[in-house]
Amino acid sequence: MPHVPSEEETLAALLRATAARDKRAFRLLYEATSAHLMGLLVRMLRQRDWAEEALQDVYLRIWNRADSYAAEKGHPLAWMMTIARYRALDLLRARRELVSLDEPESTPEPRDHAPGPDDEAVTQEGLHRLDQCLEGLPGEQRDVLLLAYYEGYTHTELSTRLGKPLGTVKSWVRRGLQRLQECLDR
Amino acid sequence: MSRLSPQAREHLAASYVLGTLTGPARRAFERRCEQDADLARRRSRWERAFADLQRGFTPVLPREGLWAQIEQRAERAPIRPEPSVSALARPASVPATEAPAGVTPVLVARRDRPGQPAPARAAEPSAPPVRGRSTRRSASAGVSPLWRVWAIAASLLATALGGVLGWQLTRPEPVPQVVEAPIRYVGVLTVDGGHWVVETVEGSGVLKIRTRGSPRIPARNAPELWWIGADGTPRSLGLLPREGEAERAIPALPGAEAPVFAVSLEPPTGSPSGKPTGRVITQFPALTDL
Repeated sequence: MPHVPSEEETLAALLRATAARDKRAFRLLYEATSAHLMGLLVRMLRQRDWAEEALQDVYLRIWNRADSYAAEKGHPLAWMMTIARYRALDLLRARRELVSLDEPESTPEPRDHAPGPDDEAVTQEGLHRLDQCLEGLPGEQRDVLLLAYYEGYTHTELSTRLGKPLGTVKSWVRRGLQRLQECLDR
Repeated sequence: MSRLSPQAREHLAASYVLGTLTGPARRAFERRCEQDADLARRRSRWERAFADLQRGFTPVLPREGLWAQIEQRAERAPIRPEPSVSALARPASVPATEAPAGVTPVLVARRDRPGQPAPARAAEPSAPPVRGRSTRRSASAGVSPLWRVWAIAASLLATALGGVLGWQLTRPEPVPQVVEAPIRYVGVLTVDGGHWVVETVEGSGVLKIRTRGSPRIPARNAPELWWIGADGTPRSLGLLPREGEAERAIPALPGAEAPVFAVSLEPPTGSPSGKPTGRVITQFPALTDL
């Protein structure tokens, strides 16, 4: 029975070919992944034209840095989305100096992680996934971590959003991360 | 930072990945990771952990015209030296309309209209963007794109992705070894109604400007772009267009640790004094190359 490459293997091969300047592979990589990166950018940056600009910057970085991907960095798509998220954070920081905050967003719930046909859930024995660990957190710690992750809020923005003192939200974030670490290390 | 306890390092890495580590501390952490393998490892572990949350983002299909823009920028990117490049033969089935890489486009002002491929530039062989996927994309709006690519990539892998297919790289002259890429400064300058993206590479003497949306500027003013380096002296980079794209020559800029782009409202022909005379309407600490 011939080996059918997994999604992970396919994307990793496309990244390797992209690093070797194979533009067809780069295009395939883009087609396979751009909707996921765009979804992240649209969510965090809110404005479509900003997200489009950032998407281009991110794929250009991937074009230039495809050779820095290695299997130990995790799933190829996760690696690419991390690059996109960092770009969004950088843009948000500068922009929020100029633009006032939007209406408060409700805290997002992580999507249901039951494995489905789209998922290639890789779980190892004894490895707690972050979402499971998050569920074990007190509500305010979970809320600030999710808001920081999905909306890109700083401590100050969290404080404004939630109407709580700056010191309080900083402490929630700190404790939340600490608990996550303990949970992940178990 | 090397004196920090493991616990403190973990917290730094976690807050960096989460995004709550901001400003100069964030930049310092990035620099530190380049030299501190332990810190880089911790960061990598947190990145993998937080990747779980990425499924919470709903996919959004980018508009059709974006790929062409990315492709063009990739063509202009400096070609990094490859350890074992053999000439990639072009199989007979590859359409002849694909453009060779390594051609430097002539710098011209152009207007970017969404959904349309950019017009061919003067000195470049005419090369329409690679087409072919548009109908498939619109027909599968509800399906995960990852599944769509399987069939294509599997056949590519079967024919040894490593070097059979691809662009023919034509190099009329030897490509210089890029030892250390010069710094690229990027600014995003937002006002009501739109924004500009400006970009210059250290030492290039060239400024690129892209206008997005319709930046609202009073009719009696012109927006002028300034570069503010370490000494705090604004240096004019010229007037910004109300729409479209432009590239222009600029004077050599002094190197700067954390330069800032700023825009002020000036008379229609620009500041008469060589310094900002009107209100500063937006500014942006330059992002260096990703």
